[in-house]
Amino acid sequence: MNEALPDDFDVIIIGTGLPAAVVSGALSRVDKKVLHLDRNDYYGGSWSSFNIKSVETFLQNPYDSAEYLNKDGEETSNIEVSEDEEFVPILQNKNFITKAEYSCYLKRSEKNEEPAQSSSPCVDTCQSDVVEQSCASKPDDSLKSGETPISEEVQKREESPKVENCNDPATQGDGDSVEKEKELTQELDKAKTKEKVDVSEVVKPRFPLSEDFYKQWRHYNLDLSPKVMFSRGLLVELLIQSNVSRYLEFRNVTRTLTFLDGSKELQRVPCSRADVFSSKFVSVVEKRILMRLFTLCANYKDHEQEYQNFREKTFIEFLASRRLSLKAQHFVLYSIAMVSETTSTLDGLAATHKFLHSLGRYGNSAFLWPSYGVGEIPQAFCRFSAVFGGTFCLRRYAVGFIKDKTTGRCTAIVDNTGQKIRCGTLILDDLNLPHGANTTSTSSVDRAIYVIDSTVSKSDAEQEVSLVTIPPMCDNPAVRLIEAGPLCCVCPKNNYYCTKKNCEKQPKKLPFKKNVKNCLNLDETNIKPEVGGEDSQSRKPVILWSCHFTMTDTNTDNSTLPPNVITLQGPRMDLGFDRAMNEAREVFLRICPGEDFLPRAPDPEEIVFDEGYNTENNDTISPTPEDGGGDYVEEEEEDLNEPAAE
Amino acid sequence: MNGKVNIRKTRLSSSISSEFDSIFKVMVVGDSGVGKTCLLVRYKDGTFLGGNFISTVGIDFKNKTLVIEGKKIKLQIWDTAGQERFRSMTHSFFRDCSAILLVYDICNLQSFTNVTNWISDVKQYASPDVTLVLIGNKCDCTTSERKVKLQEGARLAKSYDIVFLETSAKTGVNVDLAFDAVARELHKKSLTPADYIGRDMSASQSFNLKQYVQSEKERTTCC
Ligand SMILES: Cc1cc2nc3c(=O)[nH]c(=O)nc-3n(C[C@H](O)[C@H](O)[C@H](O)COP(=O)(O)OP(=O)(O)OC[C@H]3O[C@@H](n4cnc5c(N)ncnc54)[C@H](O)[C@@H]3O)c2cc1C
Ligand SMILES: Nc1nc2c(ncn2[C@@H]2O[C@H](COP(=O)(O)OP(=O)(O)O)[C@@H](O)[C@H]2O)c(=O)[nH]1
Ligand SMILES: [Mg+2]
Repeated sequence: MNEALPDDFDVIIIGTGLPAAVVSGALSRVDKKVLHLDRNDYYGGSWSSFNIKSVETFLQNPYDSAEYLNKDGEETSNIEVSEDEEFVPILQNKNFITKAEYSCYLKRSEKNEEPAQSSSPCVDTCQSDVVEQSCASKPDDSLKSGETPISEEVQKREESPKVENCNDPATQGDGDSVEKEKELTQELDKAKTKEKVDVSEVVKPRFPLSEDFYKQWRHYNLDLSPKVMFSRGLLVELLIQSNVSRYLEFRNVTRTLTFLDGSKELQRVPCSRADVFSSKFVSVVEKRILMRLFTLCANYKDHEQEYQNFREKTFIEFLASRRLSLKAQHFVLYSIAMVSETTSTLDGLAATHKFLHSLGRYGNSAFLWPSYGVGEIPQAFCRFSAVFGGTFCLRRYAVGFIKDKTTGRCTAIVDNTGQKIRCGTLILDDLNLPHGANTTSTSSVDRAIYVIDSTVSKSDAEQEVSLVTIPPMCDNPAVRLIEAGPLCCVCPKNNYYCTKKNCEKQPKKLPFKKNVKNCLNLDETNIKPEVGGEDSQSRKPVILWSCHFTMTDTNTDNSTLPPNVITLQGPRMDLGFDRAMNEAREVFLRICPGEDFLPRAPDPEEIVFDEGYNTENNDTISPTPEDGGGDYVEEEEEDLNEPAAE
Repeated sequence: MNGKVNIRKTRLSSSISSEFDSIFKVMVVGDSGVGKTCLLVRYKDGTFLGGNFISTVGIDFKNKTLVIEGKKIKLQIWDTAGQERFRSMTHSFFRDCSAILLVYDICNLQSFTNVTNWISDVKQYASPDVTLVLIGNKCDCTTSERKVKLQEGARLAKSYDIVFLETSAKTGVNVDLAFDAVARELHKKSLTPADYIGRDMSASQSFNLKQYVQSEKERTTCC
């Protein structure tokens, strides 16, 4: 598979993280000749989604796990360069995932019986991604004290016969084809018996065996960088405008939950006008106050007099001045604006505005969640780039680039097979670091992914996708969590959509494990093979599988690099995608000043071949529709519940 | 709102009910140069694109609607977009697929050898109940150009228990048959017991992809 690549490109991109993928698509779209490499055998880099098998493999060794890698590109010494050239190695960023661990808390069977039956509780599985936000750069401290108790905990479990650290149970392998029928049937059953799930959870054997859990490995899509899309965020606009949306599916984030001080339970945050009116947690007076605030925030720029005196003050002071109760302040600050106590009034207003602006575009929600996980998004942009002629090669990377000493510019890369490939511009994503450049770790995020057996907060709706915010408490930084359940297919007619998706996940930004577990009432200790009792314990969601890791963002100082070498940032801890999209656009405009950024791709119907076309007149064929020839219609928006509407 | 959110309200799913009854995603995979894009264009547009200009045109997917037993079936047929060249497919595209046409070039032994690799990719990334068809393309080629015998293709297909046929994107031999047969098979698979009530669906019920292809296909060269 080490076929030689073409050896001259306008732009070479190393790494397929989201900003890299977007830039790739944008460049190919305007006919730049793009080569896009990735050392992994999957797309997405630090933005990938993994199934259970692949995430375990990844966490065991986030670097160099693949056998195809040459004994790490250190054959760089025999790269030939001429007198007036310099070879600059490109190194793998080996700092981006640290402290990785995972555990499966399920019991293995002693006798291999009744697998079909016991796998059904899995159907009810949902996952949470828990993300800790260790503010700024204090990760080391907080990690240390936090890690110790945790690993002890895990070790204890390992000794116990009931819980095992599951390294590739042999059983997880093939059985697939045998299972196909069964899975489909289960899928249908699941759909039919949806409402009974809660009951069956108690009556049936409560937990699947670890073998059965792993048999469902492919139905998981766990994100390294869980994020949600603001319905009016840049990503959504780009997807619509470019037609890349045709590769993706979305779900609404159906509710926002938070944890109020002193409360034992998660509460639903009233976000829209409708929510505020129906919320049980807000008094009538508060309803009016909140509504007035939302109306102001939706148009805050036109009403400066309302916050004139708070320009120098914090948002929370401003909220207090509007006579919001503590609870309402909490809702607005942490769950709507999603800012902190120290955020200024203007920033808080802007954040609230952004939220309200997105609210209602697609249903009563401000956010969308990409089906199958965030990892789909870079793949969609890479596909788009390939459709427009981009050359893609996985398992291939640059061991370094060649710099012309006289011009100071990068002229070519050397790939891991030793091939020299010329380029006009070189772009490196966050996992590829040019040697000698100044890199700093800017921030560090702790993330956890929990596969739990039921939702963290039951509701009337059949299934929810939840965004949970846990405010900073007891010196712990704020935490965000996204919970997504096994959203069943709502269109059985088109089995096109009927892929089994046991789970989606939920990211959460959160201090550490115990905090989350406390707040959400999660517990992995009550995994018992016996039939669950009806006691209150059994109402708690139980963790079946979990992993934790720390993701560190690296910032590369571009000033020491040749002007035509561009580095991109990692996912960071932002909730949305705006920063990454802005970065991609800037990089694109730097390479193609004045060009269109991701203009609409034609629909397939617009590319028609007839007998007249042949090799000679290919000039007449262009994938781009004639100007104005497209039938693009602005999307109609759904019935809006936007509080700002008036 | 637990449904999928269609961010472009004007796109496919909004018009499902009127435009067609079911939609299926079909992929054409196989080594670079075996004629996948040509097959797609031949099926949809009824023409053959010679030379290499085709690689300069971004073909993403094509839609074709057929009527089977009074039902409008829309096939959305996806090309590999050239990502197969260095075996760098975006795997998410396998996931939703109802059917996969796995193509090799009868004049290129390597492309035939690689079928095994493609099958393992399909097994790993596609749904386990995907409909798989093996296609030996370029059967218009002369006996001297041919490197893979018809029987070899048939034998390989048999070992995986999948349907096999030889096609030519150039002459059009068996191209419509390949896609139409897939559409019929997907239609059959999608029927639920409710669909049978009060209707004579015996034709569908007894539809057998292999037999259908066997009886309909045109003889190709050097059998
Ligand atoms: C919303 C919320 C509600 C909470 N409610 C409760 C509660 O009702 N009762 C309760 O007892 N605790 C509560 N806590 C605190 C939380 O449970 C503890 O911080 C947690 O037990 C720490 O354990 P851990 O190993 O998971 O810490 P980690 O998650 O690993 O660490 C989190 C942070 O806490 C620090 N930390 C960890 N252990 C200690 C320690 N022993 N002393 C000081 N700092 C430490 C770490 O340095 C780190 O910065 C709450 C926290 C939050 C965020
Ligand atoms: N003789 C012959 N040539 C074909 C046939 N199908 C495709 N080709 C040629 O094979 C080459 C590759 O075709 P293409 O569709 O681009 O292959 P892809 O890479 O699999 O998409 C082109 O030069 C086509 O003209 C066929 O049925 N017969
Ligand atoms: Mg092609």
